[in-house]
Amino acid sequence: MKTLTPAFAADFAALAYETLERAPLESMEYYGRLEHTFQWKLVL
Amino acid sequence: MEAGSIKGVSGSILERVFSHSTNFGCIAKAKKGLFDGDYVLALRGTAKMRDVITDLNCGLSTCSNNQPVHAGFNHTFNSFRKQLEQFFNKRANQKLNIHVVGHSLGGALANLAANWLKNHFGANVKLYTFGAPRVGYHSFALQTEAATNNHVYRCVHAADPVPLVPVWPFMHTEKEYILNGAATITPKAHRMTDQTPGYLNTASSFKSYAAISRGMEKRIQEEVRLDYEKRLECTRTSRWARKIGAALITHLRDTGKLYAIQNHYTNTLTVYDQIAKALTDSIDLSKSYTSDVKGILGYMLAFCGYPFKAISFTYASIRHILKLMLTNVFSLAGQAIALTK
Repeated sequence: MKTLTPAFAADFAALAYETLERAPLESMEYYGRLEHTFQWKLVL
Repeated sequence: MEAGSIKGVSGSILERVFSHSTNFGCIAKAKKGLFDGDYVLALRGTAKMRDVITDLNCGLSTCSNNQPVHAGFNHTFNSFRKQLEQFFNKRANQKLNIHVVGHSLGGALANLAANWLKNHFGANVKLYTFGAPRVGYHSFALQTEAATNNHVYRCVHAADPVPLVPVWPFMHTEKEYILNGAATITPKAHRMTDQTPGYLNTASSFKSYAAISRGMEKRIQEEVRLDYEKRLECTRTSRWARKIGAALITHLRDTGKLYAIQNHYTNTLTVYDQIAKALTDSIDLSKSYTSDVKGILGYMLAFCGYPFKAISFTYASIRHILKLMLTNVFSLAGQAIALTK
């Protein structure tokens, strides 16, 4: 099991933290990076 | 609730995450590649949890590894645990690799989730937090390190007040990754996406955890005694908050009260009431104990901006100063969390 880099982990933390009001989703850099590597499975 | 990968924003899982129509976060699965098949559970705190963390009288409850933890965090985690269980039950026949991530109060939930996923599914778990508060006592921190096989990446900014709360006897896991060393406590240091410092910004500047400065939540605190006459050196920094905490622990250990307070869980007398009582009881036992207590109280007042306030050694006065210090630190943490909304 590999370890998420600090940047990748922060991307996920930011994603969970961020709100829609701040910016359109597609323009967020971290969203793009995550979408490249992961697919979304469930909302809690 | 389950769906495949998203195609866009509208109607997607992420839209629901972002619109706050749901409360706690999301789960992603890695496509083929470096993290092939791994899951990521990304959690966030909720607005309601701000009140939970700023409650000075935070109670305790028992979490999945039978250790005492912050009752408010545990209650919140239990409110979505069933969804986690249903999701991973369907995948329990495979070896689960799960990265659990969270910022702020989401980091507190991530601690609880990591333990639960290990205990319930035997999953391989790694834990990543940014500006997370303390979740439980020493025993919980140890269990968390064991559950993750020491893969806890607890990232902080030195100026962020949220990792300072709740104060002792709550304890973090030991290793700390200091993404930004600026020390004067400010609520702004807690933000995730701001440029200065902003956890997203600072974390992205490091290629690996090995490149990040290390701090430590000390298991056995160094002996610290504070000289009342030197209290003006105390400033409102995380360093002094920790040093005052270490002096308090030193004193409680010297007077034989440390173990009793750390292991006496009750919701009728708060741990901070017990500390105030222990400090009061120390007065007149010996000159050096009185001097220690005076130093601790003097530095607490200096930290809070009242270095010249007179001290009296009654229970009411000591409890008042202790509460002032706690209110100060918790208030900074509350402001920091408010800024994230």
